[in-house]
This record gives sequence, C-alpha cells and structure tokens, in this order.
Amino acid sequence: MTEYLYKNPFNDYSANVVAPKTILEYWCSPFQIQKNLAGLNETSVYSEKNPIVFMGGRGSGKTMFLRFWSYSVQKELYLTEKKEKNEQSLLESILSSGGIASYIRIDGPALRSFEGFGVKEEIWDIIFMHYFELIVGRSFLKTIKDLIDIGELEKPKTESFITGLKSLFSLNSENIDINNIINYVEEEIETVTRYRSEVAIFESKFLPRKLFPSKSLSFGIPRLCRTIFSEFKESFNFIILIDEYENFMECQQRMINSLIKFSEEGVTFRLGMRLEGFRTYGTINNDDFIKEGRDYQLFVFEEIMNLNSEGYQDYLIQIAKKRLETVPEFKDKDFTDIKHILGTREVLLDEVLDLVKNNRYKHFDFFSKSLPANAKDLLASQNPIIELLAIIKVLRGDNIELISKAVNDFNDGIKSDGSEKLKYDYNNKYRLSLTILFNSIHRKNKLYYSFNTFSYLSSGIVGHFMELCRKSFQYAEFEGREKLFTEGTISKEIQNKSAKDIASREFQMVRRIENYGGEIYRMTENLGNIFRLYHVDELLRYPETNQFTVDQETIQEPYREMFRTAIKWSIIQPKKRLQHSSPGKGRTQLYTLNRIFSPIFNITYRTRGGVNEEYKSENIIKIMTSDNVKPKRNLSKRKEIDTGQQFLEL
Amino acid sequence: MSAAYIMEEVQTKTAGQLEPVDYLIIAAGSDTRSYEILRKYKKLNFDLKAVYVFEFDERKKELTGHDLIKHNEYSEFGYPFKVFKGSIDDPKPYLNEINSTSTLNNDNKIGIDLSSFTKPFFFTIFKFFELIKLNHVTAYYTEPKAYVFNTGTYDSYRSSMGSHIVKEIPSFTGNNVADQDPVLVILLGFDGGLSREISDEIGPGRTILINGFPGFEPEYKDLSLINNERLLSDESKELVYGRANNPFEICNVLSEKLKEFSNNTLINLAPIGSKPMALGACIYAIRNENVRVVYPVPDKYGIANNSDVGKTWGYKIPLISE
Repeated sequence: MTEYLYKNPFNDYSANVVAPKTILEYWCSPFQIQKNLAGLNETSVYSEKNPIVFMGGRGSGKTMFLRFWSYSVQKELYLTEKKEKNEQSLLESILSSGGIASYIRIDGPALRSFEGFGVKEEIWDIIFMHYFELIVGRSFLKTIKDLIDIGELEKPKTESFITGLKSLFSLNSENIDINNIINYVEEEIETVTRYRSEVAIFESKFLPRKLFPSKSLSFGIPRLCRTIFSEFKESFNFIILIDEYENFMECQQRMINSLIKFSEEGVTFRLGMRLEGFRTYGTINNDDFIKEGRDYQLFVFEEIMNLNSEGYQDYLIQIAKKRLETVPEFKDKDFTDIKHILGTREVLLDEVLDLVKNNRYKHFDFFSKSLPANAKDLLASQNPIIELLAIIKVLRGDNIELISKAVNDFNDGIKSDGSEKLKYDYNNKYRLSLTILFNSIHRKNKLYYSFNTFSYLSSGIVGHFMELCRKSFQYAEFEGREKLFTEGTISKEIQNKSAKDIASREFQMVRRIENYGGEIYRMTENLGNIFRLYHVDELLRYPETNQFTVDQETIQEPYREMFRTAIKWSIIQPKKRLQHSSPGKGRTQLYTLNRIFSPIFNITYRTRGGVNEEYKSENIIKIMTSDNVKPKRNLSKRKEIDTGQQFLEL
Repeated sequence: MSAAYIMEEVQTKTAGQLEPVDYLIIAAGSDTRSYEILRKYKKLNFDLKAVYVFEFDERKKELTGHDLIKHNEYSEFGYPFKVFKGSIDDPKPYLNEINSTSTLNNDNKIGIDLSSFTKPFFFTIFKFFELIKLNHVTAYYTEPKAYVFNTGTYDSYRSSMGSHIVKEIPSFTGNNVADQDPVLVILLGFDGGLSREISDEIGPGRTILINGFPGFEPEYKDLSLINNERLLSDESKELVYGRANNPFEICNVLSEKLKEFSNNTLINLAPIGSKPMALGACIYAIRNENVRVVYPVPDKYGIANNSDVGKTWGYKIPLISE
C-alpha cells in the first residue's frame, strides 16, 4: 500500500476559487440526482427570465452550484464531456442552453470598505456602483474575448463590437483591441482600490477617467453583444451570478435590488446568499421594493435538498463517491461507497447491549421505586430496549399483566394485539428515544454514527456532511487505519468522536456570528438544553422534541433581527410550509434547532412531528438573554400524556 | 528584501543599543502593560519631548473606578503629554491632528508603544509614518505575563468574547487583481475560530499559515496548531514558522514565501498572531502594495486587566527600503 500518497478525500477545497476542472471532479449537480427540484430544472437556470435567488446555510453548496453554471465551468464541461460526442460547437452548446453566465464574488472586507473616513454616503454609493459596473463589465468582456480567441465568434463582427465598446467607454484611440479595453477596465478598478486606500488616511479625490453609472456596463455590454452578434437572440440570457449577496451592505443591496427590479430583456440575475441574506428589499427609489414571486423566484437549498430524503442521501453518496475515487487506495479496492464505510444506519440494540454489559438491570433499578413487585415479568432476555418501553408503559398506567404478556409474545414471535402494538411503538416511535434515555440512565452520551445519522445531522447542508466525513477519516487514519485500509470501514466510536468534535466547533462558532453572536449562542444553548430535558423525561411523553413555533413578525426588535440572524446562519432552520404546532392545533411556522448540534445536547438527530415548544416574543427574548431557561411544559410530573406523533422526516 | 535590524529587550538598569526617542506615541489603556514603557523610560532617566496619548472613546466609556484611574495614569510620569481623542475604528482624525503638530519628521526620533494599540490601528499609523516619509521609528511592545484561557482548557482561548466582522485595515487595500486566486497568509494565533472565519471570507486559492516558533512559552506553538486544526487540513495550505517575538524574522519569512507570487496576485495578510508578528506583517505590507491586510474587528472591546507584565521589547523599524 502506498500510504505516503494517501490524502483525506474530504479535505477542504475553497469553492470560491477551485478550478473549473476540480469542480467537475469533486462536485455533482443536484439535477443529476433529481431532474426537478421544487419546480426548478437544469434548463431554467439559464432560460428563466425572472431573477432567481438561491438561499442556503454556510456549506450548503451555493457557491459550487453558482459556479457550476458560470461560463468557465460550462466550457470545461463541454471540453471534457461533450466535445467528443457532440456535433455542437461550444457556442452552439451555450446558445442551446439559453444563457451565458458570469460569476461575480466581491468579498466581505472589500464590500465593507465602501463607507466611512468622512466621505458622504451618497459619494460612496456612486463609487460603489461604478465599481460594480466595472467588475461585471470585466467579467462579460473576458467571456466574449475568450469566445473570440477560440474562434467561436466571427472575427469580422468583432471589429464592430470593438467600435461599440469604444463608444461605451468613450475611448478615441485608433488601435484598440479588446485586450486594451479589458486593461482599461482593470485600471479603472485599480483607481477605486487606490482611492479606498488613500482616503483612509488623508483627504483624497476620486478621479476616474469616466464614471460608469448603474446599468451602463452590466446591461450595456449584453445589449451591444446582441446588436453585433446575431447569434444572441432576444430570448438569450446574459446572466449575472452574484455570490454571497448577504455580504453586500444595505445601501449596496438597494442598488443591486434596483437592477433586479428594473432589469432589461436579455439580462437577468442569479443570486446566492445565506438565509435571511436580504438586508433590505428596498431599491434606490424609496417607493419601490422587490418582492418574491413578482420580481424574483426563491429557492432555499436546505428545502430543496430535504424535499426528498432519499434524493438528498443519494446526492451525498454521489458527492462522497467522487471524492473517494480521487484516492487510489479507495478506488483500487472499490471502497467508494460512503454508506459501506460509515455503515448504513446505526444499530441501536447493539449500542444498548454494550451499555448494559456491566449492569444488565440498571433500568429496572432506576425505576424500582415506581414499579410493582412483579416488574421482573417485563424482562425480555434479548432486548433491553423493549424492557424499557414496557417499563414506561407501566409507569404511564398500563396494566402490567397485559404489558408483560405483550413482551412475552414479542419475545416468542407470537402475533397478538399487545405484541403488535409493542412492536409498532418500538420500531416506529420510541426506539431512538429509548436509546437516548438508556444512555441517560447509565450516565453515558448517545453515540452518533452511520451514514444515515450523518446525513440527518448535516441538516440539508452538504458542507456539514463533508466535514463529518473529513473528521472521521482524519481520526481513522491514525486510530483505525487497519479497518479503514483493509475493510474500508470506520468504527462507530471514531465517527461519534468526530460528530462531537464538529458539533462542539460549530457551537463555539455561534458566538462569533457578526452582530448578536452572544445572544444567538445563548439561544442555541437554551434550546438545546430545553430539548435535552424532553429527551430525558422518564415517561418519554414528547419523544424527540426538537422544534418550536413562533410568529417571527411578533418578536420585538432588536430580538427579531437576532432571530433573523440565527436563521441566516442556519442555527435554527424554518420548515418550509406552515405545520401544526401540536396535534389538534392550528398551522404555524415551525423552527428546528440545526441538528448538527445534537451531539452536544444528546438529543435526536432527526425531526419528528408531534408536540413542539410554543413561543411568543417574550419567550424568545428570555431564551436569548437568560440562562437555564426551562421547557414550557412541566416535565417533572408523571401525567398529562399526549399521544400524537405524526411522521418521521429528514 | 531582507531587513537588517535592531531588536532588544528594554532593561531598566542599563540603556541598550536603542536610543531613546523624542516623541512617543502610546494608546491609553487600563492594562498595566499600557504604560510599562513609560515606567522603564523613567527608571532609565530618559527624557521625552512629549508623549502623544491616543485615547479611545470605546475603551474609556467602559471604565469605572480603579480601571479608570489606571487608564489615566499616563499623566503621572512627569513627561509632557498631549491627548488625542476619538474612535478606535477611525485613525484618520488622530493622524490628521498629530500631523498638524509638525513634530513627526526625521529631525526627531519617533517611537510608538504597540502594547495597547489594536492591530488595525497601529497598521494604519505605520502606513502614515511611511506616507510622511519617516526613515525609521522605534516600536516597543510589552508582553503579557500570560494569556487567559477562559475555561482552563487550551482550546477555549478566545481573543475576545464578542462577535467580529472581517474588514480591510484602512489604507491596506492591496491592488486590484483579476482572475488570480487570492493568497491568504495567516499569522496564527490561538483562536482557531478566527482564522477559519477569515478564510471563509476571503476564499483563498492558497493559504500560508505562519506559526510563532519559538513562542513566548514552549507550548504555545502547539496550541496554535491544535486550535487551527480545521484550517491545517485544507488541501491548499502550507505551514511555516517564524519567531513569535521577532517582527523582522516574520517580515523575512513573508518575503521569502511570497516572492513566487507576482504583483498580479492579491495577497491577503491576516495578522491574528502576536503583536510582534503583526508588526513584521505590517513592515512587509507597507513595502508591498499588492498586499491587502484583513482583520476580524470585534463589535465591542473588553477591559484588559492583566496585572502582570512580561518583557518589554524594542525594535528599530526601517521604513525606507534599503
């Protein structure tokens, strides 16, 4: 084995800059798994006239997704996959897709530098708009230049195009080609950068050779292209892909929102941003704002991914496979199925049998004061989880003789009403809750392992899944080499350790969230502890509770803004549709604590229907500002058992 | 470019190679370290024409009682002083005001104590020094006796308790660079979360991590590695070492590591390690215009209460390239 060549297949790659070839090597389009994602398909990414907003948490794959549609990646895709088997040229391929896209990312520190130093806000706005136009213009020009260079656009027409550009940029010199114009744009961008630097110390004047107002290049260059190159029909889209839109300041978003609202035929936008990434829906015109449905379509990554849990899991398997195949040790031995490596799903009974190895009847001892003398009749020799379920049923008031008979029938494989009910509850309702309770009785922490568990923990965020895998492979390289390289598996202990590490690191990161990190950290801690108390409720009245309801609009400011920030950072995740807050109650907005935190609080890694914590503004404020907030339900008394559990979902 | 340098510990019994300065710029603070250089100057019987005290509204408004008294101690050393007041986030008014004193020039020896300045602030001051064409300045730095690990575990270290926003340090915007993957150089500190945050913001194509070795304590170099594990697993990273208390060595390490990149590469420097390391990055950045300096600026500033001070170092910093 050439161990020295081994590298962790899940090591990080920065999606922002990774080469087009690497994107194709490491990433796969979700459309390869599901052709239609909530009404969005591969064609509509290019051909849809309306702007599209893609929201998603950190690591949800937005950047890879956006970059995948950009010209540079599509060109690479054409060259590597389509060219040989396709009669179409690159340009024909682009034209038939319905659009050509330029990927724009301006990083946060640069965006935040367009303010302050005694310069008026309106001046900064003008400078920023000029800068944005130059950045978009540069991107379009480089795409066109590439198409000219590789002979996809006719040379004779390029002369007219250059003439048009000279007019657009007010350039008079005779011998100008597209490279000169790109250089000119570069120099003008440099002028902005230099101004930002100088004005921080001394009074400075902004002196561009020409000021480019809104739309002048972002719409002007596509318009010119369409006029000169008849290949670009009216229906063809020039697409501006803007990533990390949440980093744009409010005034900057107003300017871009205006472009979105008043876009022209043939130019459209695709924005990638965090949840709640719009700082404003306003435009530069005080009376106008952009509205979902009317001005743009919204797709939330986690929702798309979670529409179909099998689809999401298939997607994770595909992405993992691509990465595993890059490592010869795994590829040669066919260890490229992440389900095999991590195990398909956890085996709860084995976990509990391990727990009770040294104290087989601790759960009976634990409840001994509340159980009748004949509690030993509840013993199920092979399955302590069934025993705990039976104990809880008796504690809830069920007849011990009937439960005992059901346990015996279950053990003997006899189908009776009692054994079937027990089996149903065991398989469909309580097995995970009982395992968590078992751990609590034995003062141990629940183990988090298996592909299924990791996929749930990742909460629809692909990056979380990759990180769980990365850490598991990292530990396995040192602590479980033999298993990893000879069997192609990673032990549950290593997986669990990785899950706890990642959970802990994500939890610590909460404190750092831009604005309100402290309040959101406390909120996370309180919610986790509240849900933890539900999980250790000795009667398991509300199993696997990890959701709450609140009407966001009623939350008092600034706590509503904090709440929105928590959503933006995917600390809490809204459910897509309004749902019943509890059985029999009206429909309302549900929120889940991101399940990546589950290992910290020893709570469920999945989301069940059923009862939820129901909050009002004052509860949210308390959760954000106080320590040790308790559940709203009284969990200390053994009564008031709700029965409603509805369904399981990812 | 390699820097020949003078670096020495400032003693109290004998003056070293470093000459005393005429004008000393310091930041007011409640930390004992804030005025350690004035204590040492006094013991060495050094004269000062004036102490220029930068007082920050954000810092002072948090102080009461004993902390406030300690903050104002700069007036008790018998040196003439002038106070400049303003915001910790905006160096420009201070620099315009201090420029109007017409004392910061090559006829005078200028010094600055970095101990209580935030890193972004002193970076901008150094840029200012360069723009007004000072040949060199003397920088002082007093080490803390120890770092505080909140819960007693090393991975619990947080450089500050609040949240941060990663910003460009004023006047260090780098060059406009197109279509080149940015390079990120992080001078590692103990706070692994910060480096990850910066990396997420920049999205570099390549990352160079500089770890302080030897550190102020033997185990510190390992702590910064343990706490930055996530970043160290990045495929495109490279780890190098430089002395944690030696800015000149850091500057040389940067020169060596970054010489392969042309001026068309945007180099992002994130000086989150020790202040002397940051000073080294600062020297490098003011000599290389394609360097952008980014820093996680906290949303609020806590009160520093270190009662013990470590060694005080003096560095003669050449500002004109040799």
